[in-house]
Amino acid sequence: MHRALYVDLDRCFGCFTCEVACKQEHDLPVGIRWIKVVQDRPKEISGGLQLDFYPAMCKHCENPACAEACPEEAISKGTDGLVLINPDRCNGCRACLEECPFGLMSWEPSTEKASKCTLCTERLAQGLEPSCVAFCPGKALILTTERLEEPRMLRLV
Amino acid sequence: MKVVKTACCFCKPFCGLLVSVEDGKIVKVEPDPEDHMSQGAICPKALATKQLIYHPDRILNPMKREGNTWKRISWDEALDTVAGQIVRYQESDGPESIVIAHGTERNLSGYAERFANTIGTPNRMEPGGAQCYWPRGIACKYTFGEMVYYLFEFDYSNTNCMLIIGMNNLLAGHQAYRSAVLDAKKRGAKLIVVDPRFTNLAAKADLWLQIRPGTDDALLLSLMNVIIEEGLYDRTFIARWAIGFPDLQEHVKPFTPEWAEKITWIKADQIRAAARMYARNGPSLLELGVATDQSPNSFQTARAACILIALIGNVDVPGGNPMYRRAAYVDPLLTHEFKLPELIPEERLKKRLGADTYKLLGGPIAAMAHVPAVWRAILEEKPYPIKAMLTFWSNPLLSYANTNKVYQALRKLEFILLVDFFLTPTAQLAHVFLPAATFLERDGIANYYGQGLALLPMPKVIEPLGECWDDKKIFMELSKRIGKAQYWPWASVEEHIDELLGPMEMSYEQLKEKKQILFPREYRKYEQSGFKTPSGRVEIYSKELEEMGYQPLPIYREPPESPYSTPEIAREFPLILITGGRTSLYNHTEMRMIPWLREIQPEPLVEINPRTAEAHGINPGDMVRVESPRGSIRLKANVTRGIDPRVVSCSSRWWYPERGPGDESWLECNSNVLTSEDPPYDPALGSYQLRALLCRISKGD
Repeated sequence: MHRALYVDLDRCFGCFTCEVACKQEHDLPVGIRWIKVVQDRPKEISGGLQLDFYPAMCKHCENPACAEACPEEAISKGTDGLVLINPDRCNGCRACLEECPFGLMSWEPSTEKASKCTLCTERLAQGLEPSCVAFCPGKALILTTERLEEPRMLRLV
Repeated sequence: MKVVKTACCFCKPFCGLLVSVEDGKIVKVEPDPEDHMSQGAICPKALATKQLIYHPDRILNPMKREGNTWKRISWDEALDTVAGQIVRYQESDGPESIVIAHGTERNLSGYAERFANTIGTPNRMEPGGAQCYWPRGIACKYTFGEMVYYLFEFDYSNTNCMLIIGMNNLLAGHQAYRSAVLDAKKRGAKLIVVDPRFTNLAAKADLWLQIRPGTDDALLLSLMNVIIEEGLYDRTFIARWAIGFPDLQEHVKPFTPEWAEKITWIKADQIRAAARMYARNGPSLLELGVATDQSPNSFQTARAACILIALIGNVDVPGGNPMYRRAAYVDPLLTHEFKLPELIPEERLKKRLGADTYKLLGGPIAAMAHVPAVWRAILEEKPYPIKAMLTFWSNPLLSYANTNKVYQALRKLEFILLVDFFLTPTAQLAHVFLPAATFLERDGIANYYGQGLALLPMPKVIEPLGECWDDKKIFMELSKRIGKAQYWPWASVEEHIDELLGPMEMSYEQLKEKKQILFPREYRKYEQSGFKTPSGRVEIYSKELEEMGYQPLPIYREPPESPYSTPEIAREFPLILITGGRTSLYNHTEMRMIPWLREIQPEPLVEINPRTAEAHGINPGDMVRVESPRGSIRLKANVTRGIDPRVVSCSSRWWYPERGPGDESWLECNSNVLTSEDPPYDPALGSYQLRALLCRISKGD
């Protein structure tokens, strides 16, 4: 089974450290956010309030709509399960941005190409966790090959 | 590429960092997983350090202002100008006419204090002080005999129950505590959060007490009432180690949960539940945030918290509130030997503004001037004039209460020096600007919140950019030029740090090799030596305070501006205002210019309950005008159920740095335009009501 990325909703507290870790790791300019921390509005649940946070990033889908949409076949899902963009082939047509059902693709004006979360392939190759996982101060993000069934574990990738 | 181990200095916990450097340039800043205290935890600010150091707007050379333009000058000219002004006012109006105003902790406060003493002024201030940490620290001193800066340590790793009051320690506390709170929760420890806002922390709580802002004192008294009435206190500890319990027992009788419900808006049964949870699940820890320090009853509120800790015997025990291990190691920067208070003659010490009135602020412990008295000395020249302000890492136009008044005061000053990274709003009133090195461009040592649990080096990672200087060098060079070189006698910063480490028989080089020195935590130290109070016990009833004319047992005081104490103001301004909420992205008034952070929260927000928003015709995202009797600002509406319909919360102290020098965003969106430094003040510390003031809102333009 491929690796999956989970967030423990009991441990994520919406500090945005993963967002900035990602920006630094990939030197992303303003406007490109491969991770966005989502904050649910406080909801009323059985008389009390509930507020959850979780980061949203490319889900590296089983059947990626972005790859299907790409006329240049620049996006592919590898044997390791990662959905990656080959920047040499990307022509910047933005078809993938329109087709991603989660709105998690970015478009970089400087290169005029699409970009998105790579799950830090370079770090994975060195045996390191992705920077969002490694630097999470709440230790809320878990990259694992196991299936986590607890109700407060939300699968992100 | 090399990787240097150092520590972050954006705020006080000094989290361990690994900084990658290539060709003298910082390429990456990452957390240090080997750092004992932060344990590899980090925050967004630290990860964005690069964008601070290499920010295009950072000022890299000394400047002087001519009208509205800043002109580059040499260090020689800048230092001669500043030294000349110091000597001029020392001679014309006395050293007390110069105020040292420092701000944000950059691990340099001790230096500012030594410099104040060097030039001979008793008047040193910061926006915090009586409005932050001193009330808690000094309450500890009078209850347990030891000055503890932030009301103890908090032994999260061994606790069974956490009572957290007036702080969001997931975003604003010690890094290591973030994970520790969550670990403790996972282990089954209970979490009680007292906060008017449904914060990130409140969202994780077993019990969230949504308190009316400014009434923590009433809540603490009623928690004591329940714990005593229901016999939940630690009889053995109290009998052996405390004095004044019978007085307290009598004193808190009227403070029932029903009494507190009317004041705090927290249901009496919730107060009972919290008291039982806290007392029965021991060991319990209590963490008190800055919120209660920003009230005119700051000292008594902190005293109440100290006594609550003592009542259940959780002083200096595993899982409770351990006291710092002060004996083995004292932060050398916090000692009298370092600060040199004896340089100010006795008769001039008496001139410290507010010292005669607020005995615990102006005395030898806190050694600070009373902020409102400083503004008065500037504006009314009473009891004597203040003519110059030497401002270090502070942005007074944003950081002090009642911005309009601060502006009038700063404008009247004849000379203002500003030492900082950027031309902040305050710069438009300054005369000389000196460019400071960031913490990665200078050497230093740190010891985590002054806790004395660990000592670590903060080695310089890169040379200062442009002509920026280590602040320590600025103090040394200025002292030379005013003829006081003997008090800053070191040839270099390294030599000075070697001297600081002398008592530990270690050089700075050796400390850098060791990386970190840990001092193990020791519990129940009082069993050997007693408490360092006059009675040797925990002083629930404090004779010392009584003799000074202060309440010997903690009391409740209604906030002076509130729906109950000033109904006439409340008719015009019916909502209660919060301006102190913290985020993980910004530290005080800083960091708004950092692109990676600003992108996440681009503008200041005002939290409004949906019912209140609807009543005012305000939709999410609308611009909202928030007005208080002091002034008005505009912020974007964040409509949320996480706040009471009778309360609103404004993002703290905003400005728009991208608009450049001379801009007036400090008037447009800075929450301190709304706040007040009016009397009454805390009788012991002079703290003013900075929170829980009154306001009104309307749909803005």
